[in-house]
Amino acid sequence: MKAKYLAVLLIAGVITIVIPSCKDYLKVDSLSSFDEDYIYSNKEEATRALMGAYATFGEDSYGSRFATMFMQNTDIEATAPREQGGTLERRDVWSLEYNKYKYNSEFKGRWELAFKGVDRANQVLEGLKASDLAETADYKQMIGEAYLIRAYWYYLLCNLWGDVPYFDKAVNADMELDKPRRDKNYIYTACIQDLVNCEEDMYFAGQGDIGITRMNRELAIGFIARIAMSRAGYGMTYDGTMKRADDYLDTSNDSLGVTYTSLDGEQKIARTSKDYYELAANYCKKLVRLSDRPLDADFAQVFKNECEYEAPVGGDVLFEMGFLANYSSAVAYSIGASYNSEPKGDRWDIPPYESKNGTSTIVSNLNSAFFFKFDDQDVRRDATFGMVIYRNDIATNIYGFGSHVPIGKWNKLWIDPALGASASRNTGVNWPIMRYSDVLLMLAEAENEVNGGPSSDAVEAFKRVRRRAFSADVWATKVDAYVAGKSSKEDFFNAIVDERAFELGGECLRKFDLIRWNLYGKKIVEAKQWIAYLGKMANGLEADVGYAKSIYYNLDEEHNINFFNKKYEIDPDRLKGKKEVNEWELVAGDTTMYSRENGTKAFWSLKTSNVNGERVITTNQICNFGAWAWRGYTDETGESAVPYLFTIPERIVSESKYLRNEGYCYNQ
Amino acid sequence: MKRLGCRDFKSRDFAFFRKVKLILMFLVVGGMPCFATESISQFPVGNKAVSNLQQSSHTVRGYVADAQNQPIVGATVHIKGTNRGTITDVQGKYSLDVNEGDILVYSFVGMKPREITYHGQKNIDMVMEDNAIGLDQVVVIGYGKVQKRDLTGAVASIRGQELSKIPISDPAQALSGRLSGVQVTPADGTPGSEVVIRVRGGGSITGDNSPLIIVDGFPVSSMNEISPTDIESVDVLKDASATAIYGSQGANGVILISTKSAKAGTTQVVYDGFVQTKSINRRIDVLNTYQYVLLNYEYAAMRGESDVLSFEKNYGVWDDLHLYKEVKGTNWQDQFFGADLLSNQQSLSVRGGTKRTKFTFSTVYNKNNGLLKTSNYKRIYANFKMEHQLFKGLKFDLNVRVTDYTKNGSGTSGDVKVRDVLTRGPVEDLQEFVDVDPTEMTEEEYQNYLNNHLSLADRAAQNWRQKTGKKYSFMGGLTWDVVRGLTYRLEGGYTSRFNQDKRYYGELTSKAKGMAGLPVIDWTKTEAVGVRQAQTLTCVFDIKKNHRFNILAGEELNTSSEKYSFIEASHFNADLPVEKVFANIQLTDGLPDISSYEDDEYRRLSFFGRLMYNLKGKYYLTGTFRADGSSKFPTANRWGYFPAGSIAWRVSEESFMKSAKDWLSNLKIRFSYGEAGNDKVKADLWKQDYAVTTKNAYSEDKNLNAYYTAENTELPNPKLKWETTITRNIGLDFGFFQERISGSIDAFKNTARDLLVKRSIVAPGYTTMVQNVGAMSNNGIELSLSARIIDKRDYSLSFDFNIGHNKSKVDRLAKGVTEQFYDAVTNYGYDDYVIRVGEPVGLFYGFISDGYYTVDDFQSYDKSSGDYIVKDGVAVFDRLKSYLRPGSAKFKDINKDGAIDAEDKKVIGRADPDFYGGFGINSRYKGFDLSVLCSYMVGNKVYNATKLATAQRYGRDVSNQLAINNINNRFTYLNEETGALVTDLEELRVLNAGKKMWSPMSFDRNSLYTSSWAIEDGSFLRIQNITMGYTVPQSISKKAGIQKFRLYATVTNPWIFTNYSGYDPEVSSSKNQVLMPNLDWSSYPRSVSWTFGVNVTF
Repeated sequence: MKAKYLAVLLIAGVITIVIPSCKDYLKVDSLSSFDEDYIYSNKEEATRALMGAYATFGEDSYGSRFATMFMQNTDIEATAPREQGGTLERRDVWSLEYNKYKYNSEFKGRWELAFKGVDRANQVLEGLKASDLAETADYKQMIGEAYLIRAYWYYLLCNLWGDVPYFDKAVNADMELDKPRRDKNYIYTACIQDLVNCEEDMYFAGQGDIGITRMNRELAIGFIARIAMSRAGYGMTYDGTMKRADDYLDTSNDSLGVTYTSLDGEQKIARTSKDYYELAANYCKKLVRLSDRPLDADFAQVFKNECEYEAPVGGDVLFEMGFLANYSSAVAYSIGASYNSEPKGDRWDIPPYESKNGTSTIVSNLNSAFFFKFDDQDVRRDATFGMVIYRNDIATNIYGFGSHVPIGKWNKLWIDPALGASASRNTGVNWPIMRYSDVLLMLAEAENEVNGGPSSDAVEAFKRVRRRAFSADVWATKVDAYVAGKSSKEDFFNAIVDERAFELGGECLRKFDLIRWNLYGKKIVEAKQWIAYLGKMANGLEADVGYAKSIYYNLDEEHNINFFNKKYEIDPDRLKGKKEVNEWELVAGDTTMYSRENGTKAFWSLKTSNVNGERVITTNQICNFGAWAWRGYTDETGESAVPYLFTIPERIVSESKYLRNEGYCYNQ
Repeated sequence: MKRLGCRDFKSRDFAFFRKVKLILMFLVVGGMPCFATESISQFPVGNKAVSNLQQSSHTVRGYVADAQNQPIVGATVHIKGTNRGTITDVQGKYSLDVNEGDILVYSFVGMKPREITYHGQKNIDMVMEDNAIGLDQVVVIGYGKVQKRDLTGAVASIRGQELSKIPISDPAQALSGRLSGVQVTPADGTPGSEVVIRVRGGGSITGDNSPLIIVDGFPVSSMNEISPTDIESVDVLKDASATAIYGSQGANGVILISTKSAKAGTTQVVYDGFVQTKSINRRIDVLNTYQYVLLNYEYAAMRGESDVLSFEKNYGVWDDLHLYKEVKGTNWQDQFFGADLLSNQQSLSVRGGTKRTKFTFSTVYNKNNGLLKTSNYKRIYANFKMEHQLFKGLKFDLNVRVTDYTKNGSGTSGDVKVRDVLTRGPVEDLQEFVDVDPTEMTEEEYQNYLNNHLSLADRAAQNWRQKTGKKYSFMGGLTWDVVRGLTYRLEGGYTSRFNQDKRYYGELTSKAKGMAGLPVIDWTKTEAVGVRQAQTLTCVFDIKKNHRFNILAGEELNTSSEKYSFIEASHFNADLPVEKVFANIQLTDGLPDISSYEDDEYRRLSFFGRLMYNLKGKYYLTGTFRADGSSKFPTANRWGYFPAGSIAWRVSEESFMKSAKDWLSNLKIRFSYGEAGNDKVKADLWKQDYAVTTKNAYSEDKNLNAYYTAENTELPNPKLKWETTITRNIGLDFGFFQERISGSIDAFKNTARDLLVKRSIVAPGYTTMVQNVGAMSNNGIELSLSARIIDKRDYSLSFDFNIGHNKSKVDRLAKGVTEQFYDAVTNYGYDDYVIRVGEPVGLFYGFISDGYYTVDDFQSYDKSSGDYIVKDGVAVFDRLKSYLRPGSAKFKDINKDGAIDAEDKKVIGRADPDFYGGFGINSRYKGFDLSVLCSYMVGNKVYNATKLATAQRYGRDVSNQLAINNINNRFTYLNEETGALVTDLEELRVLNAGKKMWSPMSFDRNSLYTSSWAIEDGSFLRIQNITMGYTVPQSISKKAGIQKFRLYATVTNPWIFTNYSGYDPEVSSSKNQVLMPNLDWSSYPRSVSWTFGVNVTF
């Protein structure tokens, strides 16, 4: 009988344990997950949530693609893709043949990342706004940042894919998920309005613990101007031509109008292109009024700071993407000077490498012909062109001008503390998004558009940018006289087109400028013609203007490359007493002069052979770089639209009811 | 309920009652052995006769033993028609007072009862035979057992004796081909690789269709958790009437395994051991050295002068190439799969105990070496089972299991893929004499370089991997016979699992290259805990003898949780041995990446009940109901209710069938209907939650700050609910000539609705979402037959056969969706699988291969551009335009629009077989036994993606290819006499007259284009194994103190008859077995193994 009592007791025990807990038994606590109520409940956690939206920039798809590689090929930033008859690989994105390489896998993950950026920003926006703390200054700042993240991703999407689906709410299963394309001008308008509304609630860098790596009020103002310039400018339309909103949309539609308060306190609504230039000018001036600053005296240092992990507030850079070594950034790895390791032993493939910061694989470069467009005294030229090759932390040789040349603004050599000999990507080097000189040039451009010619504000802004590029003793000619010669609206505009190249070259802003100016085609044609001209000249087919046949240099004791000439033929006197050698391996301290053929000769492919004692030209054409880099654009007049829009990935096209690679530049 | 007492019994009823009691016991103990002693406790134990009213005149003594001459303890000996009897003692002896003419009945559970008439014998020794086959066979059903005759559902069973003859280290594989309606497919031939088990095709397309596996009443996650030598029997529940008691967990079928238990009174020590050697039985023919070099020369010649120059650097000039005819080259398949290593397994078990306490202890050591030297699998297993009678009517049982495994080698998950073994050139090129500049190489070129210059074994060693796992299970139960016929059982279980996955990426791996060439490690630790509690109340009673009821009510709750921690560290010195690295992670020169994660607990709470009723052993009715609550669904949708019912009619018991009794021993018709649910999806898919991570961190101040990100990559679906499977089964069981021939036929239709499907969606931030969409069904028919052709004491012969047919059909997808595509191996959105409404799952999707473009398709060759100009009207494939030449592979222009594109793809094959099954022969002559087991499948198609990738350059420029691409068989542009490239159309025509294969240069090296060419018939007949054994006669072995001594030899997988060109048509390389079945993508070949072993019982 004992057994029965025992068993009865057990049953009673079990029942008392099980039954009361029944109701809650299926409710589970999540230890490794957090709900919205919690993550927006205080500033620290909300910042982590916001960082979740920022983290979309930490992905390689942003760093090595959106920020850099996708911004080629323009007349400035350009890298040669592979030989024609492409292999559906990443290099083919440079060829402007998206129609042909519809299946290029490059775009799938990128499209998804961009929209993920949009949605994460929307999630954060909704979370912050729903919080009890939404009205606090810190939360308002963060709300502004979320708007900026969304606007930035849309700015990229609208320029790279054109008209795209627009989402201003975080997605949920109950809403319409598959949406048709929305004209980019509506999207631009909405983004500008958002920023106009929140800009005044944001902190300037230096306030509220916010530096230049958080999206601040400077960026908000600058970005209003930047999007407004795109809104005022051109873009690819469904019929395959480049048009401004005024040309094909009813701008009286409220969805195309932005309401803002001008600097004079006047309520204004921007609708037409001109209105948007006015809006842009207004905001550029607003930034000058509220947060003027001198441009950093040392142009090269602006970018060197990023490699040295310095992010000074109040300087040239208004906002840069804040990255972290070993976690994010492709800057100085895929864009920047050529920096690598030499193998230590006999086998190249056996580590360890010796360089303190590992290796780089540069995929974004400059069109080297652009070098010859610079004024000889412009300090920005040598900062922009990375002509020196570094191996094991020392300069080992130079690049000629064969095709493309790396961008010298960033260099793994400068990274400190060192990343280690085995480092590759994830350099942690920040990436500039908005500089003050950019705002000044936008001010000049917008004023010029609004006033039908350069106003005094426009001229002054322009001059400020140019003054920094030249030493004060030549300002009279290089700045004042130069600008004085650009007095018509058209000349001044063209000067700005050039100046933005000189100032911002390599920062991957050119592509979107060319699109909004509708100059993409013309500039491609000009770039090709310039390459052809330089090549013919080097081959003696054009009048010699004294450009160098060879570049002479040596390597001093401190492992610095000393150039004796770069652009022009060297003074023969300087060659006296020097031994001219053409070697790959340089010896430090050897004052013997080295030379390298100026690569411009290779811009023109001219081959001759001896047929029956007679010299016959067998090839007479532009080099492969010139022929391949923009090969998707064949119009020699530069008038027609460049087929610059990326393809929508196959997966999306096959799943979506609306999204197709039809129309735009896809009708051929 | 009427209390049944001894008094109520007429003597005839006694046996009947005992059966009832037995059933009750089975139900109660749930897998524990049944002891007859309990049910007839009114008999005193020992050799004293029962004192009775009627005085007997004689005493008979004797010894009761089984066929192996083992004493049977507790066997019942009683006099027919009376309630007088006794049971045997620990030596199997008995004595009983009898009268002349009494009929003595000997009975014991699981044995055939024997009768003998007393005619004054002093001594009656009785040998009893196992009664495992036939209608008395006990079949385990959910939370209970029934005799086969009383089954109303579709159940397939296999006894341990059949299993134990064949050496196996993996219990799941032992089932292959033995059970109708059960498909067992190993992922591939790697040791310890996952085995996919499907019962009737499985109903869900979420990707998890694994059946529920229950060992001795407790669920386990894999059959690998138990030792094959411990299995007593396996029962597979196939229809809802049988599975419904398990509710949602049983939707994909239930496999019930009973393990061996001890018998009271005797102690048995059993040793089993075997050694095994393996080799691959099929090799894929690849090009020989000369053909390989020739192919590369042709490729270089077509690319132009600079490629020819680099070819010459690598292989020498054209005029010397004939020398390669003399070079044998390396057969990489031999190198890679040729490891001549012995595997072995040792197992020892001890069983014994007293009437009140019984125990079983068994332990197994298994070392399974793969074909590849660096990959092996080691397992140690221990099992302890105990049962103790606490008080009268209250029993306690305990089962503790410990498993420990180590799996070495990265198998197919590392850098070395099986296709690398095929595509690796038979000769090293001359590149080692050439200076190579790494900085000029792209990442792909670097990988190519490595592919070409590292031996495969080196590369495998560079991908060091070790997986270890330990699992502890504690299970206990209390069974209380409240009153006769009413049993309460309480059980609890606790399992704890600790897994580690260590990987080391050597300096030459692509991962280390990402960290500039220093070794990287990652180390994942997983800790999982499961708790289970269940209680059941079973009530068995008769009303007026003819109405028998068995009522069960129960409650069960399950909790499981998993925690992970992950470390990745880099920058290790390449000279450090791997073990040292793992023992000293602090030696890293890089920032280690550490993270941890805990899954949400998964909880289930269930209530269930079952009524089994039978009338006169002729009419059966079963009704089941189960309510399951799952924490995976939103509050409103948590509970699922799953009813089931079945009826059966034993026609053979009807009086009008009496005349047929001579030949028809059993005829039963069954019908069942039931619903079951499925919640096998990730937890928390219905709500938006956030997790913390540091991946790709953004930093405002160069400090690492973790950030929040959406926890699931799927868009949350707040409407998520149970998936429901409805099964309908109609079956017929039959037996002829006293069950000498028996079998069953079942036809079924399973329908699943509200399928939990991970759908590809177009939405910002998300690419997929799990939704309850669509419906699918499986229709099928199964037949199993068993014949004991000869069954004598000295010799026997039996034959088993089963066949099944199953057809799946997608009934509905999401609203407005009629088809969905999936991509297994192709790139760039070129899907190769499709599901379509109205059609079966597992459809291959691609182009129809149309041979190649002939010379006639072209008008001219343009020397300046190097292009062949195609004639007007010849359809051209846009994506391969730049590879278009005479001899280029051609796909059919299905829609006749003059272009070949995605529109020209169609369904090019179906994975489902027409039918499948197995058959086996068992025979015994005196001490010798021989068994042959075969499995077969007919009409199934296999998608041979490996073939695609090895018939073109894929992933690398220089690769070896299938032998069918030799120059005499493939379209070529090379004049083999002169080495000149032929471009003239007419010359090409002559050169390629009668060529069967297109040029392998037809494709880019990044993509595979799925075409009907890659879809092969996978029909096969496989001899699974042949085993021959010899048992030493007991008269001899006894002298050595051994009761049983058996030696055997087995050959596993000796032959497979198939037209399939790959390694093995039974293959499943895809992670998603349901949507992308029968994929052969770089899968390991299956081995032939020879095993020599011994079974010893002391």
